[in-house]
Amino acid sequence: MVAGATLLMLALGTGCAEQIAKPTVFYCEGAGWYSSAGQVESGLRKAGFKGRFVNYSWSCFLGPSTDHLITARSGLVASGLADRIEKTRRHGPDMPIYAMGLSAGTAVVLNALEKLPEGIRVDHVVLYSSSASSTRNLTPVMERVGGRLYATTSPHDGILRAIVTNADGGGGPPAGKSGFAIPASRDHRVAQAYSRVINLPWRASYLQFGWDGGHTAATRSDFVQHVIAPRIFSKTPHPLDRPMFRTVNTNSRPPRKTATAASAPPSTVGLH
Amino acid sequence: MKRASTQRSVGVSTSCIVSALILIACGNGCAGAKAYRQGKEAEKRGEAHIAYAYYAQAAQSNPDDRDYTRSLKRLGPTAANFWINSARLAEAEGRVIDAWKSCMRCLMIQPDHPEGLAYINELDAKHGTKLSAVKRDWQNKGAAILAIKVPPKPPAQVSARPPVPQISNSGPTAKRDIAQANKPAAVRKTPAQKAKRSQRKWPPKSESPPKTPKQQISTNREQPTKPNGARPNSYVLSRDNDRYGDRVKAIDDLIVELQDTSDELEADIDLYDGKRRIQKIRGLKVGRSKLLLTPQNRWFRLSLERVDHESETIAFRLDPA
Repeated sequence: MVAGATLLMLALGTGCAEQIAKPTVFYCEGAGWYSSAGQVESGLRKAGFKGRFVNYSWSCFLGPSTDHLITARSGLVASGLADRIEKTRRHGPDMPIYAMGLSAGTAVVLNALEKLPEGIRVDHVVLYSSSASSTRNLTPVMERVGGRLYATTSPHDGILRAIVTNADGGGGPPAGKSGFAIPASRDHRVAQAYSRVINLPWRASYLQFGWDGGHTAATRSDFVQHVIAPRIFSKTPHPLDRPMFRTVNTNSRPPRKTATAASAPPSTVGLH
Repeated sequence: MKRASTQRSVGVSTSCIVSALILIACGNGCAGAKAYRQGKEAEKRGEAHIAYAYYAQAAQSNPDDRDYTRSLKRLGPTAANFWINSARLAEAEGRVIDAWKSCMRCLMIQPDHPEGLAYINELDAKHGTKLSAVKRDWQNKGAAILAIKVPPKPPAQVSARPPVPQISNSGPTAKRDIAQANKPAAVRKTPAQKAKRSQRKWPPKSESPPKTPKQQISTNREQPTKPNGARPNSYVLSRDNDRYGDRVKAIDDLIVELQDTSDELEADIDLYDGKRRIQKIRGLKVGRSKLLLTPQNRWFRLSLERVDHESETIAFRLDPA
């Protein structure tokens, strides 16, 4: 009798706990790579994230090629993630929702966001070493994103350099190699969307945080904690953010050069 | 016959391509190694921020080198703190754009630097309009506008150097030895010159009190130039003149230590809060000044008034900024 009552109480308790709305991260692993979620979650936790971390399993477990070429583009997989995002949003309309993915998982994230119904939005999106096409038009995606979309890119990514077909099924370069490109037709909608898309190219200073430019190293816990978390957990854009679309004042004149002494000019060292 | 010549030409072109590739690879490697060496030199000089930039340059083309990664990890926090301190000094001197750039350099090294993030927002709030041009530049050109200027090496530095002493301990004497060895040959003094110099009479040694030990803190303010003592914040430090010590406890328990002088009338000075070094001032010229924050968080301006390189003596003032 007592045991039955305890079990009932526990069940009720668990049910109530699920009802409490919390900030949520939806994460999609890469094709055939099932061990990056722990690193990403750990990095976010170390940066102070106290919400739910949902690892959305989308793999068909038939190997990386099948995942990359077929499953990542599956409408069923994308709809499944879109449903879960929608439910979470309806449950906690004011709670932040973040969507993240690695490699082919980024294509799943982008497809799911395109499938979200009108009025349902996520807050920020992070694409680690995206194998989605760099020429993919992100305008429909960004209409479902309230904040910003960050995409890490690296010229040292050996996997993305080697792939022939990107996760969107085309032959163009993947975004994780050289970054997303703005579509040729730059109307107001496109400008609005791409003013919130930020490519994060690999820099030598990221070596401090474990990202050596490699494909999966972009999900290292330290990198997520020190580089990604301050960007997505802040209401204002990070000072280092350079959105893809920005207004350029062509009327501004270059500063007038002043005469300098005849001494040798100082050399410069860039901060990479 | 024709076939043979074709094969030969294919062989030649292949070997050309292979040689070119090897040359390019060597070029990259050499550039990285050179930058790493320059970083090491800068680190020995105590310029962590410049060393970090060189290490980053080296690692940019070769991210797999563990030495580069270790060096970046080791110097990252120091370099980030250097830039945030530079930003505060620049703002206090009215150089708002430099302050913003220094703050951005800090964030480039450590994107979640709490002080850096707070301070850049503070700068934005206080000087938003003054910063609009540089922010536009940042959006258009990116990190190129944050490149650090490295002063050119004086020609004398090209000449052969004596071997750099091994860092056997991290005490001030060892550091001084390294600094001395890194000096250009034209500026360094030979032991004979030093002996000759110690016999000179300026400032007069005759009525000098017993020499203050180097590490003992003296409170030797310069004798007032006027009978009424109109220069209360003036100090004299010397590394050779027995009359003065080489460090002095100045305002707010701030300890000022003379490290070196040069024949270009420049001085290297270190500032301490107790045993902790809080700031290095390098290559300060006569007539120039530098802002500093005392241990009690008050801003002062250190102005170098006189340098006598022969006796390694300087006179300086500390005035509220």
